[in-house]
Amino acid sequence: MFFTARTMSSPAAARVSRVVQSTLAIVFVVVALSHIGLAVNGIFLGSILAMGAVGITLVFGVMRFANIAHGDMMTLGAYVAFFLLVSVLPEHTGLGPFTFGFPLLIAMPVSMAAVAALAVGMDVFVFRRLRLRRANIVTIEIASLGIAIAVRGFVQMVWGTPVRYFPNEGRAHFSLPADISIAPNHLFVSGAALALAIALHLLLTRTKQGKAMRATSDNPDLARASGINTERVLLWTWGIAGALAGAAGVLLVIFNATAQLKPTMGFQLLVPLFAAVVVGGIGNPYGAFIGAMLIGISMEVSTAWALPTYKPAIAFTVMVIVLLFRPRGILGSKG
Amino acid sequence: MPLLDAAGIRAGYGDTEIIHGVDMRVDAGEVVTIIGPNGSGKSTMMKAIVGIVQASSGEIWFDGRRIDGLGADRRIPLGLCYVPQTDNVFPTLTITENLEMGGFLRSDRLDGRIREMFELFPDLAGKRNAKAGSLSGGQRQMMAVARALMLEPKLLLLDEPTAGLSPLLMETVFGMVRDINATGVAILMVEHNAKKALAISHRGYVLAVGEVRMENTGPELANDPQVGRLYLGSE
Amino acid sequence: MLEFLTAFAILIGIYSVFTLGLNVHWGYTGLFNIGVAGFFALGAYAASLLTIRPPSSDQVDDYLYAGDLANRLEGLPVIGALDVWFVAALMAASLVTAAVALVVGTITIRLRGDYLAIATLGIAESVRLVFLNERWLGNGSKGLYTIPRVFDGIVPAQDYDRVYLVVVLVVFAALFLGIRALVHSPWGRVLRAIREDEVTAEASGKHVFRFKLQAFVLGAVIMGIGGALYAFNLRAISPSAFTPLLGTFIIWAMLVVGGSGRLYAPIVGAFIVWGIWSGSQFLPDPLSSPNVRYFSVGVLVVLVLVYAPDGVTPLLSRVRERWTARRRLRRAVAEE
Repeated sequence: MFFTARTMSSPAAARVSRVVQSTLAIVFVVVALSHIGLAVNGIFLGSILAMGAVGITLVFGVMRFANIAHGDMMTLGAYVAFFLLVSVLPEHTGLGPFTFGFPLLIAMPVSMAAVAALAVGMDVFVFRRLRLRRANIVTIEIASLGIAIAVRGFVQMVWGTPVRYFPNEGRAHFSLPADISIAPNHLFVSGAALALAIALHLLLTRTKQGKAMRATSDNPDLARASGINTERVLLWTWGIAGALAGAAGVLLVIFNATAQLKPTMGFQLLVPLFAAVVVGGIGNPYGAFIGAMLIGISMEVSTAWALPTYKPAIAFTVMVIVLLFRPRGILGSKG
Repeated sequence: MPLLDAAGIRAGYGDTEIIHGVDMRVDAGEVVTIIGPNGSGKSTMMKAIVGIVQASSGEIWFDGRRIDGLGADRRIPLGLCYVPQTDNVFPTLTITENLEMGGFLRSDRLDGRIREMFELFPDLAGKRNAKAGSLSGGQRQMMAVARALMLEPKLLLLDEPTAGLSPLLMETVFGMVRDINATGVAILMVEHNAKKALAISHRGYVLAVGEVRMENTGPELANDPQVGRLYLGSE
Repeated sequence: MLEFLTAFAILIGIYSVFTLGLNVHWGYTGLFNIGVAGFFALGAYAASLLTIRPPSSDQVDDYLYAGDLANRLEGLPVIGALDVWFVAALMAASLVTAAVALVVGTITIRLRGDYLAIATLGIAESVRLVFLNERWLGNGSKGLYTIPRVFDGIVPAQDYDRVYLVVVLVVFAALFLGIRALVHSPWGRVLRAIREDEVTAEASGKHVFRFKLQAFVLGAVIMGIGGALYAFNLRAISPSAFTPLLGTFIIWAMLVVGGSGRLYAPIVGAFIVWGIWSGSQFLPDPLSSPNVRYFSVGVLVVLVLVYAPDGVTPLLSRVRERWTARRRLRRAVAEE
């Protein structure tokens, strides 16, 4: 933030800053290792945060605004899956070591598609109109806040405010040495998140459309001057961000031991999600992944001392500390 | 028939009109340079031709087609490629990826054209997997031009290609302009370094406060004492 | 019905105060604060903690109730028609929010719009979590509920709402007139210049950071005063009132619908949005649910942003102009 620019300008101060940064990094690793059970949980939470944060950062890259509706898009994804599991798909629980059944493997992609469609629709009906009018970024941001509330209102109108549950059956945890106990669902969560992250990486680096997304994020004017249809790139980006948000919503439900759904589940994650995006370097999907892990681990490890309800405040504090030393985030280097 | 023929172009940003009825033409195979003081509308004219800025009146014809109603993405495939003055590469993409983006509109395989570009700019060939953001000033300018050449344009628009370069690199860039022109590509460029640019140009325009003040062959403009006094400094 | 209208008017008055503060942040200065709820909560808790009565013996809550200012000041003469402790409570709310805004603003105001948004959202959530979790400070999720009445003992309890409406209106009017004077002052002109073009404002020698910080603190103080007014209305507060939805979004909805940067927007916006919000409970059954409210106010905000970006206030003034023009025309015809 501002005093970094001022006080860290001299070489001596830069050296002090590097020493403090390394010290903080070492403290973080030592504390995480000394609470390895919590830290492992943090990695699982981090993989869910990553799915959301990567979407926020991709949209930010091409549109330069932080989408406040992202948390509620996750909520919607969870409820679409809930609807499918309870009303459409056959009843089945306890697939292998997991608490959920095989229908979830069908419900999850459908949820992803539904939220992707919502995201594309948001752009076509709201954001594109504001863009064409050259509306100020904050106006666009407030519109996303309006959408966030409307989506939550929609979820509450259809499914009500009481807590709902995915069909599930209890399952024993895997016990590992060093007091680490892993819920089988958590392995599914991190496996699915990793698979999606790899798919996204391949999309961004191996396909023409993915490279066009990165190019548009780098320099939208030059992308247009190269003949890239940036409007179509935006729709792709929204679609991908929406699909990831849908997946994150479903994973968030099965991450929870009792498979709970609440209408506020996504919005409540907004502060940690934004923190992950900012910590990683806003606009950088790889940074968002790293940021999400850092925030996820910090949030879980903090429960060794702080009340669990303080987790969002912990995420925010970690963000402020990182920004003090790296105003552009961990991987944010471009000027 | 000229390759590019713009007549009575008025354009600007928002309510501010910057150029007030400019006529300009580029024939096939020509190098044309626009010079003029800061704020005279040189860059705006380039952007109006490419379609990044929409002209509020006037006609632009390119290669026998009227293009002033088209968006930038519809003009570029016609063979009209543009290199902005600054921010003219994709910094987090590799050199190869930058070239692929330059050739985004081509439906054929890009490998052949990319190989040609590395032959034309050997400096880039050794760094094909480096990020464009890591290039030096001169290499970055090469990168930007190579990106624009990927579509094999008929007309290349260069906005101050030597800005911020050392005198030695300037010579290299002007040499590159001549080489590209020798392959049959017409070039329209804006240059601050007017004397050197005009020396390699077939023709030149002098713009001031959004209007064409003079038009002549390159060497004659370069030696015109009035141009020298007004726009080239006291050399 | 009269009771309902009084309660309705009080809340419109209180929400107008919040929106007035937000208008100073966003409408006049361009500061994107989505942590209104934080300043709202700070003002409400500061005013309440200073004045709450000690819990009666059957309540075993052991939280901080150092306040009880009303009793402590009992010996003091009431100056004119003012309750001294009430004025002290408003001042406490102002001071606490000013102090927090000064610290937060100094750190965050130089950030780009969306970073400021994330920072203010994070701070508001942290404030709420502190009051939720630190039972010694704010009695946790149960909140504070022994907040005294203004003019207690002078005004009978059943008339409290009507008297309190006057109090709210007086406070709002004072703040409104103050803001109106400021907006037309040279200070207000500098703020608008900053909002329109920060670079030019900086280049013309204005100390942009200082002006923005002043505006941030001023807006936050107004929100804090709104929080205090809110506390003395229901005389009970709990962290659930300061969620991002109820504490921040609804106020943004009011400003957007009213038309940000316009003097009368806070009143117009508060009236329309609160009208929809609380009026919908009279609708037939499925429509009266609060969920329909969330959905419709969310959609309303998006529609206003897309189709009437300047809000409703300019539409109203256009209607008024047309009316007066028509009346003038009619009069002219009649005189013929």
